[in-house]
Amino acid sequence: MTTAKRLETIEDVLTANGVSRRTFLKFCISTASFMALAPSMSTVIAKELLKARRPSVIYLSFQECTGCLESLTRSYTPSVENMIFNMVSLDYDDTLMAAAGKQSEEALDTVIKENYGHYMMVVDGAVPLGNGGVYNTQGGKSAVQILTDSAKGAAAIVCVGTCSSFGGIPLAHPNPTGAVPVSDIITDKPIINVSGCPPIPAVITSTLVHYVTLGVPALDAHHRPLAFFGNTIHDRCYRRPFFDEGKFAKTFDDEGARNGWCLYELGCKGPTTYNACATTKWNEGTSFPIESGHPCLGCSEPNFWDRNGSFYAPLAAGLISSVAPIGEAAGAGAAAGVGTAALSRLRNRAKVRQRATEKQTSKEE
Amino acid sequence: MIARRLSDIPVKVEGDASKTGSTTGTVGGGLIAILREITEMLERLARYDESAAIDLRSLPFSPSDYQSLRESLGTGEVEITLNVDGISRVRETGFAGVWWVEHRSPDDELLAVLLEITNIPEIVVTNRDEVARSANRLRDRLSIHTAGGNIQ
Ligand code: SF4
Ligand code: SF4
Repeated sequence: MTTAKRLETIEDVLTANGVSRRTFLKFCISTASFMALAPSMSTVIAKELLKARRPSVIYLSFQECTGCLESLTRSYTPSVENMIFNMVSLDYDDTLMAAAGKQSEEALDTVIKENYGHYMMVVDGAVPLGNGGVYNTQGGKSAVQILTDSAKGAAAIVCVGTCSSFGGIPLAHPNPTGAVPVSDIITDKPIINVSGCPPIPAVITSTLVHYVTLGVPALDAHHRPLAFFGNTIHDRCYRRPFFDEGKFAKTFDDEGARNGWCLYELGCKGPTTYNACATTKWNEGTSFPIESGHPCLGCSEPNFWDRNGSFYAPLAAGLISSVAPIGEAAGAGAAAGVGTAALSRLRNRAKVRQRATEKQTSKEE
Repeated sequence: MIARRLSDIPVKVEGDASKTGSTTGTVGGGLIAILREITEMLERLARYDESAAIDLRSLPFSPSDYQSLRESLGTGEVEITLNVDGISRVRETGFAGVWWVEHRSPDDELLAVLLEITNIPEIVVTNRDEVARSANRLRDRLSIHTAGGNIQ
């Protein structure tokens, strides 16, 4: 990677890739709308993005299943394929990059050195601390060591997925590896948690866009962007009228289930789960789990694997008393229901890989 | 994010028609409020040439509210379809300066619906840098032509 390359602005990259200004503007308008920002912010985002230097991004994976990266590489929201990869310089990602072994370790060191204090770190996976961290090592270094070393020069850390955000499944009982979330180890850097198992692709990309243009977004108590984690699934669930009427499915194939009644008694964790599934939906805006007849598992919350005993045990009645008043939820639901945000597959994943490969090749030159 | 003007704050309208002055009983309070907001924005556009926009998805509107809003605003003289990574439709309403703008993805999903109060929505205007680039492109093509190449 050369110095000239680091200095290029997003505008340079978009121009070089033949992205028209209208396409770019549309992306900014959709992002602002998706993040519930005032429409005038789309102009601000556009201006900021164009003059911004592409931030260098280091993507680290620890105790994880790669589901989060799968989710991310299938995203392009709103609608502009590959746009996110035009906007950041993904300089290190051991899953996507062509380099391996010693070559990739060196790449990481170089990126850190050249962008010290400025790069963005994206982490997926929890970090095991048990037995000195031996349960996850790469290139002879433990995950905790790699994380601590890499975080020193980072401007901010985005934790993608419930594992890096809250420990997720590695931390689930009995947690044999002593897994912890990133925030237990790194305490002196801004951390944005984009939880979910996996997170919704559009939520990941929009959070990155917000960070590049307007900085760290407004966060909730768990450091999650409020724009996506400000409401519970239950607040926006289209089955909510049945909940309010007390009409519940009791088994998966009873009359209630067939009529689309509320899944609360089948263990739905929607009332205590903050995420954007009910409005943004999954798979190009097709549907979300509750629409397919399955209760929400609560995957974007801390301890989701253990917290309620069983995925199929109903929440204790006391837990949902804090739910927003019906009127409020209905209003929000109506606003959100007008259109679902774009979630479309990154049609050509090869491009992503190619980009990572090109980057790697240019580094080697 | 800092809201600098009233129009920076997403509008959320609550309450019923009787409290917000509707006399017909068919026009909801939310609709009256939004029409007032648009009127103010139009006045600012006329006086200070200041554009504004309302994200229609941020409003607690039902489909019938949208229908009423559309009907209240009517249809104007201009309708533009843009092919910009999916279709975008820009329609002037019956009130000059008020545009109904819809952006869709290549899969025809609705990405954003805005009411823009402006002379011409920015997405329609040709970007100056792009104008300069097309001049260069055309000049290059001409030089190939004069050098004996085929202009096609
Ligand atoms: S309990 Fe679950 S299915 Fe029922 S309304 Fe709430 S989120 Fe929807
Ligand atoms: S519906 Fe619930 S369990 Fe399913 S993805 Fe959304 S938050 Fe996770």
